[in-house]
Amino acid sequence: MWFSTGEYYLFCKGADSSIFPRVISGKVEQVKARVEHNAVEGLRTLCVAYRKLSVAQYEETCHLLNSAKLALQDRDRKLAEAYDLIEKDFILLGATAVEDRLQDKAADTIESLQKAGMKVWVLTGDKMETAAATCYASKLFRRSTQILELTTKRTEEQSLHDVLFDLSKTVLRQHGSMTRDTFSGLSADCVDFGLIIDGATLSAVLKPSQEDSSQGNYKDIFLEICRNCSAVLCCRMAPLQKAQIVKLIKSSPEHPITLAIGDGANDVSMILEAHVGIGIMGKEGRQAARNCDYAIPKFKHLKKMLLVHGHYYYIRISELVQYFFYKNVAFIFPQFLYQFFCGFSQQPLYDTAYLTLYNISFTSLPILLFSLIEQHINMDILKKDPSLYRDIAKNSLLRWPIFIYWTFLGVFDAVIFFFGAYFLFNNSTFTSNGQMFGNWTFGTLVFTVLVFTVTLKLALDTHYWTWINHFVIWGSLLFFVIFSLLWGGIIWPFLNYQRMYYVFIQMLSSGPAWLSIILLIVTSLLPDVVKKVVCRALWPTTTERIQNADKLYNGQLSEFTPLASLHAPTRRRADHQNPIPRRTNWCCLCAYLLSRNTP
Amino acid sequence: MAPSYNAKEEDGHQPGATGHGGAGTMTNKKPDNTAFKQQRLPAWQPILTAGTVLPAFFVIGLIFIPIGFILIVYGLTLLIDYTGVDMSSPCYNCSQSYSWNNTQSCTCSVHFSLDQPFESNVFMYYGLSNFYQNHRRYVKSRDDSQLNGDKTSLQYHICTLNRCSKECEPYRSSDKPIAPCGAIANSLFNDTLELYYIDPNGSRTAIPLVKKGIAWWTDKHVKFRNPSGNNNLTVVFQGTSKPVNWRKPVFELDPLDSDNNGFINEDFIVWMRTAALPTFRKLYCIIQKKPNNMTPTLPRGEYILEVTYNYPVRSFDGRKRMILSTISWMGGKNPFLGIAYITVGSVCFCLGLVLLSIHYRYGKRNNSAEISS
Repeated sequence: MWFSTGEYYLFCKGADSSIFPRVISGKVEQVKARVEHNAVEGLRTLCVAYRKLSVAQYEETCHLLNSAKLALQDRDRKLAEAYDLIEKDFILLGATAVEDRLQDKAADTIESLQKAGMKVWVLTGDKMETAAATCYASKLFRRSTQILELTTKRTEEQSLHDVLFDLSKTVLRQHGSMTRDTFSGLSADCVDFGLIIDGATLSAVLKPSQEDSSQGNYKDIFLEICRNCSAVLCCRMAPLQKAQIVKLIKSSPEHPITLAIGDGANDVSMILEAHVGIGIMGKEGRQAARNCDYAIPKFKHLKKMLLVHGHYYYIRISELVQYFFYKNVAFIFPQFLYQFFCGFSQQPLYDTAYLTLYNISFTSLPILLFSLIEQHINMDILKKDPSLYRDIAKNSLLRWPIFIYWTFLGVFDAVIFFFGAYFLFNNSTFTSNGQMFGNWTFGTLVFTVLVFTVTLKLALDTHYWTWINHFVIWGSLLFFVIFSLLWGGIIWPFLNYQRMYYVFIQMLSSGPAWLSIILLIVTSLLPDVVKKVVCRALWPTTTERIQNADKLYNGQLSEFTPLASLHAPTRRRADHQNPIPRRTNWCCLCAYLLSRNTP
Repeated sequence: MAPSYNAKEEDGHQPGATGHGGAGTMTNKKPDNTAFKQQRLPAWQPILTAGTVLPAFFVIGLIFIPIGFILIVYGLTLLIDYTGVDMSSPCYNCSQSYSWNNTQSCTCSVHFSLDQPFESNVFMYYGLSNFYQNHRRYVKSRDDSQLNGDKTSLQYHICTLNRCSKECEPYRSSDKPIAPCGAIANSLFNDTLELYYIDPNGSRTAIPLVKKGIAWWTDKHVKFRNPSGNNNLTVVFQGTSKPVNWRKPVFELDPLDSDNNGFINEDFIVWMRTAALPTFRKLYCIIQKKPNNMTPTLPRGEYILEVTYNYPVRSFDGRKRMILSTISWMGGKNPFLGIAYITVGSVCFCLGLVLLSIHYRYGKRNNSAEISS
């Protein structure tokens, strides 16, 4: 700044750790104490200092800066050096403190996420004291949380190596002595750990190991410690370091799914790095919101987004994927089996119209509407009981066992359809008037049973029957029947074959055909119904218990409090050597919980 | 330009008139508070528990088992293989001495006896096995428009100009276009079967066989039509030749009955409906029940089946059979359907019992635990 008196003043603001080293005079000690006090109270502090420059100094400064800015190589380094040279010999002016209140319901959100089995980390650029105070306020750290520190303070006393080993011993000792209950929120006597790490230490930990192997790989120990902590706070984080942490977690052995949420421009790298990036449309502008996958107005909306909508979408999409494979296996496998009986000549079992329209018209709408509308549990219950989220942790509905079950079901159904029809046609008269059916009637019979079975299977899987579901499910079946009647009802002039003429109607006018359709549909659906009923009676999951209870209370369940008692008992694993609670889903949040209530 | 602060803005509500440029025209992006958009549509939420499914299982069991019994018990059928494979069988000589150019047909007689009388209409079928009427190339090899009476498919010069269905190749034309073209028509079954009853005192009576009503009504009256133009089919089919393996041309299939001649011959129509499996049967004729309901249609006793052995099956290891069967609304005798119904019915019933026990043991426990909580 150039004053009219001809002097130049250089004003600088910044965090206390970067200002104090450059200050030569001013009430340093008093300001320092004040800043510490503010930080512990949870205020965000900044220090301001100034320096007077003479004209010559100013010229020299400009010249230095310009040459650095125009440098063709190492511009960043040269700029940093230039700034370093300029920013020194300051006189301290004072400190500012801003009270940034926590956002509405931030504590509630974080607690819900932890109950849902997600690990919550806070990555912030603030001082350790400020951030710690915020974490206590937002219930990230509880009273019973034992705080482990991996900060510059500790690494000044001990070497990084020793600190890491100390901490890992502490966590593992605690962990080994008791069986870990995955309900981190409910058992009060279980001591959980919280870790605080700052940016400098983190870069030391992440530094690639040197030539002497005695330094070892700190990343693994660090991850081991983090795995056993219920919450981690990383303070004094540069934006790039936030992204580094996310990358580190993503590459850890369990490959968890990470979610990053932030509202400022310094969160953008972290948002881009995580699997799911969420931006809060905040006062600092829309940088985060522009770069994210989802943008929400406030932090508290994360709870409903994950626990309700996320849960719903997962249920819906897993059913969509499994159902699509199932219905197409059931569709094509009879065709495959038919080849064994037609001399492997590639004779299609179904008419071409059926082949074309199966996936487009006859079986597409029901599953489409299912995956838009289905709600397996009431929204309010999902919000009230976050631990229901654990039922879908670790991608549980799309794992191999479930996929194999669905495929087996498809193959079983296909075998029932085809061989049922085969043994009925073989060596018998299938009509009520003695006349014979041909191969197109055979295929149409199999196809009719197929369409009805897969649609009724979806009907059995649907938990939330709105008028739309009724419309599409019964409507699809009706459309199939009407289409078949029309397709075979007229000699269509544009077709050069008339093989389907009257086939469907003739099939329906035969008594044994009706009997066999009913028999084959019942037989195909039987195993799945039995499996569902028996599993629900003998080994109900938490979701199913809640569904039962909801039915019992006629939809008023959310008003009755003790949902915890409905939870399925956690199965104690026989091997206690496996310390990793397998059902937790890591979720890394950068909670910029703080709302900017002042401009 | 720092935006002026508005406390409501953070909720995503519409900001006030001030604000950064363009904000005044920003519309409210919140979705409507309708039941559909907020996913609060009224819904029925059924659950498949043991209690709800139990009645269905018992009902299914109780309905299926009797149906199965009826299906098993009802119906009579008799099967006679007359291929003539081994030396002792009556048709052995005919099967050995087959030649395509034989003008004289070979006949053989097969004796059989009925232990039970056949009541009501009796249906006689001929059956073939190892005959792949469902082979893709075979199924394609027909011309439905020609069979529907389309004259352009019959005319010589148009047919050779590739206006006929290409699928009929190579059975489309010998020196003249073939009517009916295709491999299906070419392999028409041409054995003749006759049935005689042998009285206890030794005299033979021929049993009247009705060859009408064996094809689908829609096939005979809509799908298959003779080309129009002349009542005399010989004139209509002029300029065409018979299929290669036929002994007579199409207009001589039944010269005595004009309603059964040409394309609308019922045997021909039955043959043209390609069978689904390599072992199949096709309806040959119907033995009508006697006008007075006292005597059975086919009484107990000895019978003779006279076969005019025209159709060669030994070359592809096929078999020929004659089947007599009674038909009800449940079809012919179908042991598989009956057994399947009984099996599924009993499985359902057993599962119902199992679920009942589960429901009592665990259902009460679940319910009481939830109510007390």
